[in-house]
Amino acid sequence: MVFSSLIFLYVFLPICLIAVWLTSSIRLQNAILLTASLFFYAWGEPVYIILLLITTLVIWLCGLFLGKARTTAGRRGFLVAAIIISLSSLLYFKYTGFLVEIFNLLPFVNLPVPRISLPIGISFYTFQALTYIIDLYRGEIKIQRSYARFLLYVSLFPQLIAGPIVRYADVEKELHRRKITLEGMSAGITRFLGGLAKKVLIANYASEIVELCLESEHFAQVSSATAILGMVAFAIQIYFDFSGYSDMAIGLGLMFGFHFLENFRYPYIATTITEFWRRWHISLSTFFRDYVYIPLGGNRRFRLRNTFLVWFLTGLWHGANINFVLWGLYYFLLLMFERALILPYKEKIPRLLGHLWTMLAVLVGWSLFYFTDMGRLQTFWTRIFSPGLAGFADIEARILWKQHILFILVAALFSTPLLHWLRKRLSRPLRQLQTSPLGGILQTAGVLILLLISTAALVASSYNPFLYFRF
Amino acid sequence: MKTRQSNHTMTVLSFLVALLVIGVLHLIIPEEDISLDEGRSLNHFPKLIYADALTGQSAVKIEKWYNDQFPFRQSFIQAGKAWRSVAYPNLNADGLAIYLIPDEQGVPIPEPEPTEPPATEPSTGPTEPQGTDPTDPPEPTEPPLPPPLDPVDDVISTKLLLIINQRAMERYYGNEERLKTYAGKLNTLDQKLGDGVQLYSLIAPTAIELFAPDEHHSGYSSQKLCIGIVNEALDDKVISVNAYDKLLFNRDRYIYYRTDHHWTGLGAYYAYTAFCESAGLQATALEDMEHYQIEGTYLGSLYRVSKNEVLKNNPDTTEGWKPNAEYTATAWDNSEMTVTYKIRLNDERIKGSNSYLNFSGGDRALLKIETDHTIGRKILVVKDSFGNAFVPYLANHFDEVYVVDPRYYVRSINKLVADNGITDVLILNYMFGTSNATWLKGFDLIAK
Repeated sequence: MVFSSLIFLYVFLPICLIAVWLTSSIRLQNAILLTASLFFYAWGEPVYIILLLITTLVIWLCGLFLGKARTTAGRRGFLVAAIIISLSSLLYFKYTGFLVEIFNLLPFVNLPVPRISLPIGISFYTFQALTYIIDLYRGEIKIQRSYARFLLYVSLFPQLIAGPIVRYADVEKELHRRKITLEGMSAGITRFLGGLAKKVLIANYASEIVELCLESEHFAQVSSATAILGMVAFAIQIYFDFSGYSDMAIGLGLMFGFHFLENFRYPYIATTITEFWRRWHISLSTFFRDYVYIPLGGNRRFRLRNTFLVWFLTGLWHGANINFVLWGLYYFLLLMFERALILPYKEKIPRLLGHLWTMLAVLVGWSLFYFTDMGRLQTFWTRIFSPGLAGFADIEARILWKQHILFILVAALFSTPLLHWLRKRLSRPLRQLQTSPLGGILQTAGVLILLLISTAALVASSYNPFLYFRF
Repeated sequence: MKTRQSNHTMTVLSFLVALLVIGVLHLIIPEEDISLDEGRSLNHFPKLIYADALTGQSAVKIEKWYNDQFPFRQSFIQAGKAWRSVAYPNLNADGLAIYLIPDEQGVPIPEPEPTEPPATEPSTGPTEPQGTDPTDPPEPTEPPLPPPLDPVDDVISTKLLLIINQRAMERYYGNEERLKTYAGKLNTLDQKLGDGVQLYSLIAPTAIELFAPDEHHSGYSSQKLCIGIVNEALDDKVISVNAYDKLLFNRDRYIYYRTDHHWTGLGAYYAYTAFCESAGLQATALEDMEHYQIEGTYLGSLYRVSKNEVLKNNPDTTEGWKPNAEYTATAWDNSEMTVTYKIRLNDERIKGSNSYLNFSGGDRALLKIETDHTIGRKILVVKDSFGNAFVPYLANHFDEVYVVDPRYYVRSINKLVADNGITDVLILNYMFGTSNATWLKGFDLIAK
């Protein structure tokens, strides 16, 4: 199930909310949330849910044994076992086809490429489960003795299929004790609807522009300006889609009394690539920092090797395809370049120049991310640098830009902390408003309007006219 | 502090109540079967099968049902559209817009017939199967209306639609390689046909070439250039008919529909005069044919794709000219060639959204027109839908006119030519047809 679907919004969610809100015991709440989460997962993956249960069980068992082990070697043994087992499952289900394809590049090798469908959310929940066993080994958290509670942590539906990657340490307490407050519920609802609106009102529309520009039949003949528009729209799509999803996850968490960490902090306002990655998909970059980069030696030993490995893995994590690896390595090179030539002089570089450099580099990066087909990637870049017969901006490009420029500017504005800043500037009058009945009415009206518009957009997307008649 | 709490209560309660009201209404409100606006049937709650449950298909089907039967669905769709036009104004004041033509999905239902034929005329569907050999058609009777046609998915092969000055036009992009491949196919056919049969090629430009500003037809968007590429690649023996110049010369007349991708009866007429010049015939003047005007207005394929208001407010009309000849016309529809229909060319009874079908009954596998002429020439036209408005004029000259649509005809046209003593073969296609995969695949099959 996905959050941006009518059946989630009008059936699954109200049932969960009422059931949990009417229950006062944490035990019962946990039982309800676990059942709901497993149902949520099984809705889209009725078979692979077994894999989720097994992976979780294995790691949980390793955790128990790790706790019982007396020697460091024994503890390490169970840690390594848990890591190997969970990563092999990830490797098998996500990367087998890709590895075989690469192996087939060798002369005289021609193996059949197996088609293994990817279990939803496997990259997220595997990593989540790993944070438990690693932190346990490090002695940073206590053993979770209940399998059900550990399973609830891994499968909790708000963050199950697309992150953020919630660390066990961050919700350890809340698995046992949490308070659902009216304030939390109301904050959760607003956060959730904001995320929903980001997804259905901005990301979905941006995806239509992407399709117009980069997926048309005559893609090989579009002008440079059309290709650029497509990539700008994709940058908007992927940010609002992903950060909207994170907002919905955080909002849902709040509704049920969980506090997840922020996953995005306005990445497009960064002035360096280094800063961009501190603001983009934070739960993933901190995962790689704390569980790969620092254990390998971090800045102290083999820094270049460590950085390379982290970015290679970051790329690979996003998908089993060569383009994602290139995307990761592209950032490795950029960050190395920045570290040597830009960061030392950061103070002297005008901020505007920094913004331009970062956005340009990120857009180029998105082209590597977007095209899984190398031929199409090449076509894209050919169109940018040698406009061909269509020229730099043919009439189609000019109409498309004219049609969509307003949307792009508004979306760009929403990707900055403008709203956040306004709220801060107006904090005094806002606080007064919040405590007045008018404030309540305004907030409620806002919630209902967002819900209505998002619903209309969702229903309208099921409008499915039959168009062509034979002549 | 108290107000603050009650404010939160209000927010939380109204959100929950809104979800619940809609959720409960979904259960109460009776289900609907079809959506006339979308032209498809709506999904009902699926039968739950074990196999579906394992593949996740049950969930997919249940969600389809849930979305299709959502309470106040039509109003929500209207609201969604209204929101779109406010939030994403993709139509400028001058009516200039580019649309994405969505992929075809869903289960079609027949479009409601906007006009019924007059009660005095026979209006039944197909006649009984009357013969199995296309060369031996049955005796003519008063032709009834042809049966409705099934939809196919390849009418529009492009994704971008441009609307300028109340006229919808598909953006065209040529591809040199494909154009040469097309010419190659014609050359191969010509070699097979041999010396006794003259092959002609006519490529109809589309509206965008004639009516859009110059920028839309430069580079490979230039259909003149692209038609030139085909003609250049054709063998010298194959005659290329220059309909382009005739159409361009007459572009201030009503030669193309504005809401449909076809040319009008008049546009087809100018192409016919060009063909006559190439084929050494004297084209019949418009004044010498009976003119007719179809009642009412016509909103064509490009309106249906875009649902554009500007088009809706400026619908097309349809007129035509009847050939000067006594004739009988018979059509075969199915691949076994067992089902035949009598066709009345230029049938004024066909109106409304079917208007373009009036000329020769729409795309049939094979249409045969027998006239009272005896000039000793017979013609085969291999065509796409642009040919439908064109072929009636040929009844002014040829003893027999055979019309084949490669998307539906499955037999050898070489045999058809040999068996019936056909002297002239015309390949008539519109610009997009030269790269239409379905048409080309069909052509390969029948030109063997």
